[in-house]
Parts: sequence; structure tokens; C-alpha cells
Amino acid sequence: MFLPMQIDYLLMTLVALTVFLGASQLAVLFLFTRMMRDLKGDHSKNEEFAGEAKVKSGEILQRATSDAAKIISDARSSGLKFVTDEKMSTKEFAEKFTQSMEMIEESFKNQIHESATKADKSFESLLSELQKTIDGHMKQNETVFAQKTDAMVDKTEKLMGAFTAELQGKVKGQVEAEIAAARKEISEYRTRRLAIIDERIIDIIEQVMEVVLAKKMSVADQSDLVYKSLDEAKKEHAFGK
Amino acid sequence: MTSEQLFTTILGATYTTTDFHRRLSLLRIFLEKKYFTANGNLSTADFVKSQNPEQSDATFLASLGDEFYSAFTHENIYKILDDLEAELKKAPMVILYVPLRFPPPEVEKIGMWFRQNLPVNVIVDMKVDSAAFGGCMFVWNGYMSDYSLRYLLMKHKDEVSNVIGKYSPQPQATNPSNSINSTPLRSAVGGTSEGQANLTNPKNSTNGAR
Repeated sequence: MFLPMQIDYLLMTLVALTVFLGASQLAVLFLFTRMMRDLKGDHSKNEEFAGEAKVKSGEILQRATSDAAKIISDARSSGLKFVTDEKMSTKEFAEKFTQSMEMIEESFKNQIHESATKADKSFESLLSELQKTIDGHMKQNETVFAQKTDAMVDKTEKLMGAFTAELQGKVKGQVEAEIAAARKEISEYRTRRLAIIDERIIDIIEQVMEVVLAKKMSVADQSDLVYKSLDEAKKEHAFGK
Repeated sequence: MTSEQLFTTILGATYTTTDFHRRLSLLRIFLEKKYFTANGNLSTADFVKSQNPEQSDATFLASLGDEFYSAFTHENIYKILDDLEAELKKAPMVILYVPLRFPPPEVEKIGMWFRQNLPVNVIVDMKVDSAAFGGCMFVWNGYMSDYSLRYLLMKHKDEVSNVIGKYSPQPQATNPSNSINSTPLRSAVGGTSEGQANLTNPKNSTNGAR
């Protein structure tokens, strides 16, 4: 038979184990959640992998919780059986209970360790997959970026080439037009000047000869020119009327 | 002798209006001294000695002869002189532009040319205009004719343009508006003008006005 005091002790122990198990599960869940949040901060595209990790971690925790509950249930059943049988002495009960609790503790530790190991492995696997995925995405992004960059460079080169050709054509056309206008203006100016010279050539020659010859010709020579011009006028019948 | 005969006698050795006026003035002085002073027997030789005129004028006074001088009396001197002025205005006149003032011998030669080739009593109004260089210009019967160097150049403008065109990088075609008129420059002028070189610039005369 168990004493009420022993029963209370047993129940307190079970409650303590239960609390310890819950706290451990919460700690694991907290660590995993923080890691997932960090991963979320690194890359927004890894949300699906974080969700997957979260699901896997949840499954592991659920399995661990289930195992812990099963252990507790088994312990409780064993304790109850042990109490029910009322065959065990208090010392034996205490020893068995202690032994059972040690076993439970050991089993619980093993479960915890196993769960942590599984979580660690799963997390490492997840990180590895995530790393691979990120590397793949990065490579893909690099490839896409390189392709887009090359396309943009090609397009820019084509645009710049077309723009340069168009600008060159416009400048060339404008320069040619300016040159043609200048040549036309020069030609017109030369034509006008030559026309003016042609019109005034007689005046120019007359003035030049007057300036030069007037100082060289004697009065008799100029008088002879008057006679000759009068004779020519007579021949042309300038005095006929 | 009538005034017309006297005028013809004067023009026998007088060819220009300038000479006519100068000699008529000289004749007026001679007649006034002869008829209105105490020296009534004054001869042309004595007058020439006292006045010392140009040689051509002295020769002119001596050449007139007694018949010419006998036409003048104490009463008709001024009337005849006025008539001679009037005869000059009625006489056919050619305005001649020459490039410089010629000496009397050259003027006489030019005057003789006109006297030999134009009506007998034609008289020359000789003016100086540098535009007549290389020849002369004249106005006859209201039309002006240009026989100066300018006319010669215009007459041979094609040859001149061809010579100049050889030195031009791009010979220009002759402007049709500047076609050469082989006839001398002539333009109608209204009447005769007094004073030296007072004629409209012959360079601005229009062609073929005759």
C-alpha cells in the first residue's frame, strides 16, 4: 500500500517530468523558430523551405510529445499497477519507482537526445538543401542576370549605334547643306562681283588710261586724237543731220 | 557792208565763241578809241602796239581790212556790235568737249576742221571735260555724240572682255543687258549751256538717241 504521502510524491514527480518535457519542447520550438526567422531574413524566397522545416520540426516535436505522453502514460499505468497490486513495499516501490523514474528519465533523455539529434540532422539537411537551393537560385539568377545584362548591352549597343548613325546622318546632312549653301553664296557673290566688274570694266580702264596717259600724252597727241575722233564722227555721219 | 557780211568776215579767221567774244571786245575798244577820242586816225598797228593783244588777235585785227572798218561810223558802232552779237546767236553752233584746254594754234586747227567739214559759218563752243579723254564729245543739232576713249572701249568691249576673261578663273558670260552698241554714244540735249564743262555727264547718256 502506498501512503498518501508517497502518492503525492509520485504525482509531483510526474508533474515535474511533464513540465520539464513541455519546457524542453518549447525550447526546441523556440530555437527552431528563431533559426527559421533568420533564414527568412536572408532570403524571402526561402519561405517555402522554412515552412517545410517548420512542418518537419512540428512532426518531430509531435512525435516526441507523443512518445513522452506515452512514456508518462506507461509510467502512470505502471505506477497505478504497482499501487493496485499493493504488493510492493514502500521501499521496493520507492526503489522501483526510482528505478522506473530513472529509466523514464533515461528514456526521456534518450528521446530528447534522439529528437534533438533528429532535429539537428533535419535542420542540417534542411540547411544543406536550403544552401543548395540558394546556390542553385543564385546560379540561375546569375545566369538570368548575365543573359538579361547581355541582352540589355546588345540592345543598348544597337540603340546607340542606330542613334549614332542617325545623328551622324543628320549632322552630315546639315553640314553638307551648310557647305552647299556657302558654296552657292560664294558662287553668287563671285558672279555678282564679276558682273559688276564686267559692267564697270570700261569705266575702270578708262579711268586708268586717263590717269596714266594724261601725264604721258602731249597736247599735240591729244589734239591728234580729237581730229581722229572728229574724222570718225564724220565717217559715221554724225554731222549729217 | 551789212552786219551779216561783217559777221562772215569775222568768222573767216574766228572759229570759237571764246575767240569771237574776245575779238569783238577788242574791236569795240579799238573803235571807241578811234571814234570817241582825239586820235581819229588810229591804225590797227598802233592799237596793237598800245594794247599788246595775243598774236592771233593782232593778226585778226590787221586782216579785217579797210572795207570792214569803213562800215563803222560814229553813230552805228554800238548798233553794229549788237548786231554782230545777234548774228552769233543765229549762227550754227557745235558744242565741243575736249579733255584739256588747247593752246590757240591747236584751237585754230580744230576750228578749221569744223569750218572745212561743216557749214561755213559754224562756230565752235569749246568746253573742257575730262570725260572726253582720248577723243572728244560734241553736241550738234541738239544731239550729243561721244567719240572719247570710252566710246572706243565700248566699241571694242568684246575684245576687252575676252582679254580680261583670260585672267578670270571662271569666265562669266556677258550680260545681255551690257551688249555693246557699236554706234557712238548719243543723246539729245536741250539747247546749249554757258560755262565750262557744264554739260550733263556724257557717261550717263543713253545710247542710240539719234
